[in-house]
Amino acid sequence: MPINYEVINPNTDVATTKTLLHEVIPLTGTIVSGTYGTFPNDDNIKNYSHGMFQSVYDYPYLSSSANHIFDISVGFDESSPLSGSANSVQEKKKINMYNQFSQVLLGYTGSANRVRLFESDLTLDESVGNIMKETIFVNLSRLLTKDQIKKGSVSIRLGTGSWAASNNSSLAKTFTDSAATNNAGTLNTAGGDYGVLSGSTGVGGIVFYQAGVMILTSSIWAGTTDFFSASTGIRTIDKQLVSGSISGSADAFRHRLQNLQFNNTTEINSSVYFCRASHNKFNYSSNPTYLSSSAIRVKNQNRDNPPVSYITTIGLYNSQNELLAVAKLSEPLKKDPTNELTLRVRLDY
Amino acid sequence: MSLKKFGRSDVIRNAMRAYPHSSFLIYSSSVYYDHRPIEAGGFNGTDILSVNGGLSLFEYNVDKSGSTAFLRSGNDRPEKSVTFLGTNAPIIPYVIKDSNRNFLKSKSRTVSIDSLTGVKTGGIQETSDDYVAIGAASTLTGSSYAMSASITRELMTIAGGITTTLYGAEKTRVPNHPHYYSLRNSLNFYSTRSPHYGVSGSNWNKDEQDINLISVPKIFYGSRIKPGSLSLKFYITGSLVGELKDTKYNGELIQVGPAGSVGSGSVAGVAMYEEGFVLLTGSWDLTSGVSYGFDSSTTGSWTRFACGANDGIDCSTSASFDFSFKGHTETQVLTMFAHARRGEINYSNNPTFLDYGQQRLQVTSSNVYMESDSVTIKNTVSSSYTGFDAPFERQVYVSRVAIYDDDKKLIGIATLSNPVLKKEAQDLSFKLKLDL
Repeated sequence: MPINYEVINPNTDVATTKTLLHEVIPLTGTIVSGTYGTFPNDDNIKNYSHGMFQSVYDYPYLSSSANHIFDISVGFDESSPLSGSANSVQEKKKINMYNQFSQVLLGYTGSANRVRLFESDLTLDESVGNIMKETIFVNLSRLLTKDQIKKGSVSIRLGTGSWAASNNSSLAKTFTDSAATNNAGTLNTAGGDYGVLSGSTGVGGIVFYQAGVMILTSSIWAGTTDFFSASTGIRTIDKQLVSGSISGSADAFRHRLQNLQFNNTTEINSSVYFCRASHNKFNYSSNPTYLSSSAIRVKNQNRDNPPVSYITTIGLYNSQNELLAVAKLSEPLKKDPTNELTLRVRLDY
Repeated sequence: MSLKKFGRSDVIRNAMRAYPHSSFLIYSSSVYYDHRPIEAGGFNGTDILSVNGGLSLFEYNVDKSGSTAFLRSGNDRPEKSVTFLGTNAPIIPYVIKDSNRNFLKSKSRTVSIDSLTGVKTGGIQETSDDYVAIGAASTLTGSSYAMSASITRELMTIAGGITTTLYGAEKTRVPNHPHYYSLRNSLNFYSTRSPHYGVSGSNWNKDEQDINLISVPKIFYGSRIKPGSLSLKFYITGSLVGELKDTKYNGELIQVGPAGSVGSGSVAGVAMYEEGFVLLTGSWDLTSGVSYGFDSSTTGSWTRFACGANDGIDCSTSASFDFSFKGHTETQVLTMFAHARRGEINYSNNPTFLDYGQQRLQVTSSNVYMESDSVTIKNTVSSSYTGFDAPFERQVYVSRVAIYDDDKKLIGIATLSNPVLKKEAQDLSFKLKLDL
C-alpha cells in the first residue's frame, strides 16, 4: 500500500500509440504437395463432399497441432468462353464460386446490378484485355494474414513447365505486388484494397490485402499443354477448368505452387502512462526491510546521508485508490533526492 | 431501430471455477503430456513443435526446419531482403523502428559476468541496445514463436551449498543452487501450514539435503495446484514401487503406496501449490538396492523422481514416472438475458420482410422525405395446403442479438445457431454468455 499517490494528468502524462506488428510468412511449395503422403492424396489436404474448395494445412490435419493455412478453389464467369462447354463438370459451382468472390470483393455494377468482373489492373473499367474471367482463388487463413497482408510483400512462384517438370525453377513464373505501397499502387473496393501481382512475364493476378485473398488468372499457364496430367488424360488449363473437378484443379495448382511468401500486419493499440518521480518524492520505501532499528538501512546510520530507495514496481490506481495494474521494472532503479525519473508504462490492448 | 435496455436482474457476473487435470509421464528422458505421443514431422524429424512433453504457447511454427532472417546493410530498408535457410523456414515477427520505441524481446538473453569485477552485462538491455543502434525504418525481429512450456526437474545436491569466488580483492559468495535460495523464504512462510516446509526442522536441515525440485509452469495449473490432487508414481520396469499423495491437503507429500513399501507413511517432500513447485527430499531406497543408473545415484529414491524430465540427464530406461495433478482456474463470466416480449421485436429491416415491388418512398423534396404508410408486410406463415395462403400473422425470425453500450455503439453480436421464430404473442428470452 503506497503512502501517497502521484496523480496522473490525462492531458500531459497519457499518450495513445498504434504499433504495427508484422510477421514474415514463408510457405514453401513442399508443404502443399509431396511431404505429407503421396500426391494428390496428401494427409494435410482436406477435400469436402460439397467439392467447392480444398483446404491446405501445415501438417496432417488429423493432428491437433495442424493449422489451416489456405483454401484453393477455381471458377469462371458465366460470360467466359468456358461456360456452357460440353462435358463440363461442376460448372454451376465454378460459376457460383466466381460470383461469390466477385460479389464480396468487388460488389455490383451497371443498371442490371450484376457482379463486377476481376481485372488485372487497378481501373475496374472492364476493358477487354484486362478482364480475368477464368481464375484460381487462394483464400489465405486469417491465422496467417492477421489484420491484413502487408502491401508490397507478396511473392508467389508457380511452375509453368510440363507436368513432370513442374518443380523446375527455370520454367517458373514469379509474381509480386512490388508496386503496392501504403499510399499508392492499390485500389479500394468493397472487399478492401487490392494490388496487382505482376512479374517479368506479365500480370498473374491480384491480391486483396484485408480479405487475404489472391485471385490468379488462368492465362499464367496459357502456354502449358499439360497443366494437368493423370490417368484420366492430359489437359490444358482451360480443359481442366471445364472437365476437371474443383478439387482436381486445386490438386494441379498445388502441384505447381513452388513458393508463396508474404508479410502480415497486426495493429496493436497502446496507452502510454508517463509516471514521473520528482526529486523529492519516492525516496522512501514501505518495505519492512527498509528500516533496521527504526533507521533507514541504506543511510548507514549516518543522518547526513540522503535517503535512497530502489524502484522495482509501479502501481496504477483508479480515482478510488484501487489498484488496477502493476508494472515491473526489469531491474531496480536507484532513486534519491538528486535525481528525477520518468518511467514509461505501456499498456497494450 | 429500437433499442432495449437491460434491467437490473438481466446482467449477472459470476466466476466459473474449473480444475483442469494434467498428467506427465516421464520415460527414457522423454516427457509425455497427457499421454500424447511425440509427433515427428516431414521437416523436423524429432518433434514438430520442439516441445518435450508440454504445450507450445503459440502452436504456430509447426514442423519447421531452418531459419528466417533479414539481411541488414547499414540503414537500408531490410524488410525487402528476407532470407530463408533450410527446407521449411519458420515464421518470424518483426516491427519497423519508429518513434514509439517498440521492439520485440528475444527469447534468450546472454548474461556475462566479468571475472575481475563481477559486474553483470547483457540481459534485456541488449535488445534495447539494438533499438538504439539500428537506423530508422529498419526491422527489429523477435524469436520465432518457439516458446513452449513443460515440467522441469532439477536435482540440487546439497541444496544450500555456496561457492566463494574472488573478484579482484572482494570475495563473493554465490549459491550453487539459486532456485533453492529464491524459495527459502517461501518455504519458511508455509511452515505454519506444515512444519515439513521449514528449511530446518527437528531432524533435518534442507540446506544440507539433496532436493529434487520439479517446476510446473503456470499455464498448466492456473492460479494454484488444487490441494489433495497431487499424485507422484515411481515405476521400475512397469511395477509401482512408490506413490506420493498430499492426502492431508496441507502440502505434505506422503508415501501412500504400494502397501508395505519402504518408507510407506513417510513424508518425502512438500508441494508449493501457488508457486507450482514440488520439492522432494525423501532419500530412502525404493529399488531394494538394485542399481538402475539414476544419474549419480546407484539406487532409486524420491530425489531421483522424474529423472530425465528436461534436466539434460540420459536416464535409465527401466524407470518411468507419472506426475499428475489438478489445477485451479477461475474464469469471469458475464451472463446477459435479452428479452423479446410479446408485441415487441416484431419487425425486420431485411428488405424481404416487405412484399416485393412496393414503392416505399411517398414524397421527397428539398425539405420533405416521407415513406408510404401503406406498405404491406410479406406473409411468411407456412400453409399446410397447396394453393392456400395461411392467414397473415406478424412474425419474424430472430437470427442475431446485438449488444450496445451507453453511447449506442455496437460492442458485441451474438449469433444464434438457427434462426428462432418469434410470433406476435410470444415471449422469448435469449441467454448470452461471455467469458471474460
